[in-house]
Amino acid sequence: MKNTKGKLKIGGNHNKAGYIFLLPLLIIFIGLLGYSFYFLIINSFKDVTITFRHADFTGLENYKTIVSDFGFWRAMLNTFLLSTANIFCGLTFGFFIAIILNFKIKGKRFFHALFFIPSMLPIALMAAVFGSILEYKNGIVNNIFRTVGLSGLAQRWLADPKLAIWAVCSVSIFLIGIPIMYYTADLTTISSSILEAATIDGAGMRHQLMLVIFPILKNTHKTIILSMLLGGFREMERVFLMTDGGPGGTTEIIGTYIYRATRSAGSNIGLVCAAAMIVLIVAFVISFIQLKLTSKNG
Amino acid sequence: MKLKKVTALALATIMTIGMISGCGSSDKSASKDSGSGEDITLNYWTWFPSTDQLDETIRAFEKENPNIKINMTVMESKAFQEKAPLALSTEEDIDVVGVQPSAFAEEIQDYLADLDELMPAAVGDKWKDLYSEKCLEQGNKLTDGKTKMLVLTNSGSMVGFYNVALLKEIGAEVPTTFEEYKVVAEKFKEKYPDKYTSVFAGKDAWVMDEMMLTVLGQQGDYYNQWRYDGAKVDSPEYLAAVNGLKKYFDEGIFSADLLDLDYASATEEFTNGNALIYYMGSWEAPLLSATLRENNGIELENVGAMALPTAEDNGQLTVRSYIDSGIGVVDYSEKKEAAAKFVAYLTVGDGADIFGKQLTGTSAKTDFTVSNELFDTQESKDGWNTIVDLINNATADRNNVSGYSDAEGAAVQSVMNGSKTAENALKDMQKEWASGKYN
Repeated sequence: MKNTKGKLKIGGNHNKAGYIFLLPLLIIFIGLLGYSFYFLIINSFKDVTITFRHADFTGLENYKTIVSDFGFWRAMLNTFLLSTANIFCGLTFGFFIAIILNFKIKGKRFFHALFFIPSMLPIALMAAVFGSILEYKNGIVNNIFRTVGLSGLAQRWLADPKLAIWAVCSVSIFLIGIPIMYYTADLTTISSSILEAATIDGAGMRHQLMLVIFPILKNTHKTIILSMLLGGFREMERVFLMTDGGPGGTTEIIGTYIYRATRSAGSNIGLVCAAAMIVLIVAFVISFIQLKLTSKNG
Repeated sequence: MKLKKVTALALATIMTIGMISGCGSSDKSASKDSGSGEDITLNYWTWFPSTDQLDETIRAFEKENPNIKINMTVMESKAFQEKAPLALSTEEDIDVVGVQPSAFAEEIQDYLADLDELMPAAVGDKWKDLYSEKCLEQGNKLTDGKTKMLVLTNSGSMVGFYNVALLKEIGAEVPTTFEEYKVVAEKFKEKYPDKYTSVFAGKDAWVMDEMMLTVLGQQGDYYNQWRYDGAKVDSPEYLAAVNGLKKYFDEGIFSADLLDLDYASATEEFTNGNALIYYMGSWEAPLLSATLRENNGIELENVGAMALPTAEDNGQLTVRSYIDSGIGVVDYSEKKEAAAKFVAYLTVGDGADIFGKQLTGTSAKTDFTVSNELFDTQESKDGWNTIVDLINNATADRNNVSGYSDAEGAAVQSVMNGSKTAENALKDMQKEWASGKYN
């Protein structure tokens, strides 16, 4: 009893010390985050340039402009498309590669590293490389088609408005390192007895994969889906370096839309703030769903 | 223990005082002006020209003014548009600043000193006699009628730079009409099926906009009517310009491959000898000079300049031109007198001629000339004269609204790649222009 009491007391002191250590960081974090929100909210109601001089209060005018801008919604849609491509590649290629790498195969570590390396490389580098690979005249892809006599398949991957967004999305296939890592970690938690039972029940490889392992990893799927969905709002370099939002704005995403809006001489920063606020609200809704889903699982 | 506490307290006090003094305003010793005879360093922030382009001019200025040193910070144009206003609003240590003659000038004019007050002391009461009246008027228009910026260069776009050797190889003359251009393109493609007849950065929306507006300029000053008098984008004039540009693509003069090239790739195609004609602004005029080409590692033998051949028979060979780069003195600078001296040297003094050798544009200095020594062939010399003529006789101002140029260029791209009709693209553009995003 005495011991328990002592432990509780020590625990309480530890908590207090912990909070004291956390306090400076907490103040800075809340201060910066709070100020960022305050800054965005206040300026979203103003017509103001980047010097923040001569600001005019314009009420909801900036929001009206953004909401009625076709370009903004197209950018939003493209952002979700890009996220969907990331999710699709993660849940399919990522899943299967993780399963294969889970077998006792030679060179397992090497393949792990091979699939993970692209995820560690700066995305700007990947985008620049893919940009040149997919070029019409001198790009490797088209040159291969031409060399093997399939010139008809050579396309203007980044200049054709029907193909450009898919060409940008295709880079997602090289960004499956993180999903592989998630799956690999969770695969180790699956008890071998479950798989043995499935084998005894006559389940073949395909059935084990689709009816046993895939459902068991549902929490990993959710984590991947939600993190990649939110990650879409942080995408920028891929589109900026591959197509710069073109051709004709068909590959514009939220990141490039906001970036472009801030970088024109004399541009109204209020508009940018309003756009950022709308994006923030959408991201909050997604995060809320994520919280709900994960708490249900818990 | 007590000694430890006292030492710690003393150290803390010293550090606090150090921090407070460190956080204070900038070094007052730097506030001496050129009159004091002590060394002065002027901080010059700009996006243009590059340090290489201005190096010789700065060295000459520093030789003439041994107590003034120039510390130049150059950044990419868009980054400069973003960082300079912010830096000025927080009173960073900047004395001379590059001024983009656009909404940027209006945005930063509150931070610029009145040059009408500073220039007489720097260069004499009659300094305006040395400076182009037109440039003064255009600059003043951007800064509420006051002289807060002076022009470094005037530019025009789009200008065609052609590879003289390749043109000679196909036995053709510089085309001036659409039909002539078509013949040149056919001849060239016959001889060099893998090379470009014409090349420009069609992937960059603003370049596409410049090309379309050059075609618009061939028919008159409608651009100015739109820019200053509220004329519409969805108009017959714009429609003719967009369709006019499309004609070059439809007739095979421009290849759809251009829509895949950015600025760097397009330049590279020309400088590597893979293109006959390269379209860009007059700021690419250094391509005309063998010396400057050599300095930039370009191995082309001979380059000339031309206007875009007219899309319609009644069109004029022309460009849009405007003051392109400006310079001003920061009002809160404590070295304004020295800064004005530097600005005067670059705009109306000997510096204008030294810098002029870089061929980045025409100067606002009234008696500005470029030495013929820079040109080793008749074509390059004629090319420079063509550029000067085009800039001086432009039908419209190249007074762009940069954000809108990107949007308009994207719409032009949509028409050129066939995903939109010209009519629909222009309707969308009118809506975009009236959306309130560019007011």
